[in-house]
Amino acid sequence: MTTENYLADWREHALVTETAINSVVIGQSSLIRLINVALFARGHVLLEGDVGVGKTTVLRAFARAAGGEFERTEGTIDLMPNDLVYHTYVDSDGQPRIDPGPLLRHGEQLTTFFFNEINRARPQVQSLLLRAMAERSVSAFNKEFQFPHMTVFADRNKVEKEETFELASAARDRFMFELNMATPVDEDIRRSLIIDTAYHNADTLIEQVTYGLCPGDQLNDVSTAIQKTVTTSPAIEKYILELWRASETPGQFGVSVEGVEMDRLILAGASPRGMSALVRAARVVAWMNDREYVIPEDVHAVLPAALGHRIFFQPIYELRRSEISPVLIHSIMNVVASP
Amino acid sequence: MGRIVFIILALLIVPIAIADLQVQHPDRSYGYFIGDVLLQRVNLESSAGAVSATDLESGLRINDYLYRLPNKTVTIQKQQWLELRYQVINSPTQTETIALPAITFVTESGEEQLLQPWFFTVAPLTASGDGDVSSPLPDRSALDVIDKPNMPLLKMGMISLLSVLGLWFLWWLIRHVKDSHTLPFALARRTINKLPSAERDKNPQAWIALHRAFNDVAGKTISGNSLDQLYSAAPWIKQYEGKVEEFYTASSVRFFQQVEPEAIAVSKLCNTLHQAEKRQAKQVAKASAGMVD
Repeated sequence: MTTENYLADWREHALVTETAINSVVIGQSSLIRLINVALFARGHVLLEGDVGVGKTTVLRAFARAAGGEFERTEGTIDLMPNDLVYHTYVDSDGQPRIDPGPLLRHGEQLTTFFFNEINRARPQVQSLLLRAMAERSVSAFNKEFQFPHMTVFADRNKVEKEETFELASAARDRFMFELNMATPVDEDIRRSLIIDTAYHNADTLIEQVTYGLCPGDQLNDVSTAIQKTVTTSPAIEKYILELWRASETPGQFGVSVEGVEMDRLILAGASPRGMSALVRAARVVAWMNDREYVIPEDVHAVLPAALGHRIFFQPIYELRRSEISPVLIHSIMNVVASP
Repeated sequence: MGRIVFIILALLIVPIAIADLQVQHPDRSYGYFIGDVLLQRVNLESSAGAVSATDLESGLRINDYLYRLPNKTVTIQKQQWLELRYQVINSPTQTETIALPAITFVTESGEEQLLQPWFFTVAPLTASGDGDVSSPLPDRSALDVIDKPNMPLLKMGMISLLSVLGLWFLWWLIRHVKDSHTLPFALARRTINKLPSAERDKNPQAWIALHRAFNDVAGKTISGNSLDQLYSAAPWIKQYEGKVEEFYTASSVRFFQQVEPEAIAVSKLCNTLHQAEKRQAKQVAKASAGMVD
């Protein structure tokens, strides 16, 4: 099978998966598209939203579509890093036992690691995830454990701030996308969500998604093929580099945000890892649109999700991140020209 | 003086000499010039009966100044009149007194009746006295302003005129320069015109310049999928929708797909949009002026 046919078949898989999840989680098509993109770009996703909007449901649905082994951890304030690696107990024979924790339990078969309420976990726990996400490996018991097919989905609610720990910038940078899941505004969708009994039972809904519809253990190969096949022209490369510079010094590009001194806004622009993630995601968008080259619209499709959490503001503005960041990203897109 | 006395005496004598000959002389005896025709009528039915002229040869040059035209007989109030016509054929160097010639008429009974000479003056055509043509003179003297122009007023008028023309030219120049430095498609046009003419439509700088112009007009970066925002920001571009979309499609192929697109007349499109842009700017200026009024 040629690479072209191979990718065409997988595009079909990707779109079918998306359709299946859209039927389960209604009114979130753009969010679902971005999670799908992250899946094929081999990136991790942090989902933020109000309580009860369906964050867990959508991530579980993707985990089911990806198939493979699935692990889930609830973030709590007393969760320690070791709890992810192993846990100890006394067995029925009265002997102390050490069993692998959720990270190690399935070894290389682990496809989806779902960290619920990640901001409730201590920074030590979040730090453990840094390596797991970046390198897809963890050292324990004098041994290196690899998780080549693992995708980390994490969510956090933005309502409660007590007994929570804001993710460190390095931890946030590991996530390809940070997505905000909002409550749908369409009246019909809102009515269906509360009236239609089909949407009352999340487990039943998730079971409607065919297990392994988009096999997670093959996504690395697909992703590699996509990244090799979809090209970026010098013009688009120049455009992305300009975007990067604009994220570092937006004032020099004429980017402005109302009520913000642009010269004092940026502490650190997007990281090379962040820009790399942006390009990978843009290539996947191009592939999903049946194109073998990236255009600016592909970049625009993923730019807010990929860069919004990677531009770090001075402390005076950091508290207004949720307000400033979307406007800043939108302004950068409006100002930086392509070609 | 002697000539005038002679004329007066002749006029006093004529009615006596031709008492029986009824004659109508010309209206006036002065003011004749070369070319004028004098008419003299003689009633052919006198109290002594019908009269007739003896030597009345027509087409005859009478003297230096007169030439007799063919005569004819006309009936006026049932009476036969002989019309004698003389044309002045020469112009004197100064006013001359000459006379219509005397003519002898004969009645049926053989009695002679003399038509006395009739004097009149002929004037030269020029007033110089030597017959030369003088310089033409106006009927009345020219105004002083022409003879002696009011130089300060003239200078002030000229300065005012030149100032107005200069200011108008300066305004036009400033506006032209300002437009060429501010209007987006004018800027693009300048960039494109700096490129070698042979490769303007293919040079990537020309394409990029046109893209920048579209971005400037829209106030944001415009791509092929966001042309609606361009039309929304600048509705006057909508009429060129087909050309603009064609350009964006070709640009995407060229810059992102890296395939040579179909030929697009970039400089022509830029010129067209620049003209439209200028028209739009004028309309906006007029609308603004209307609001101020």
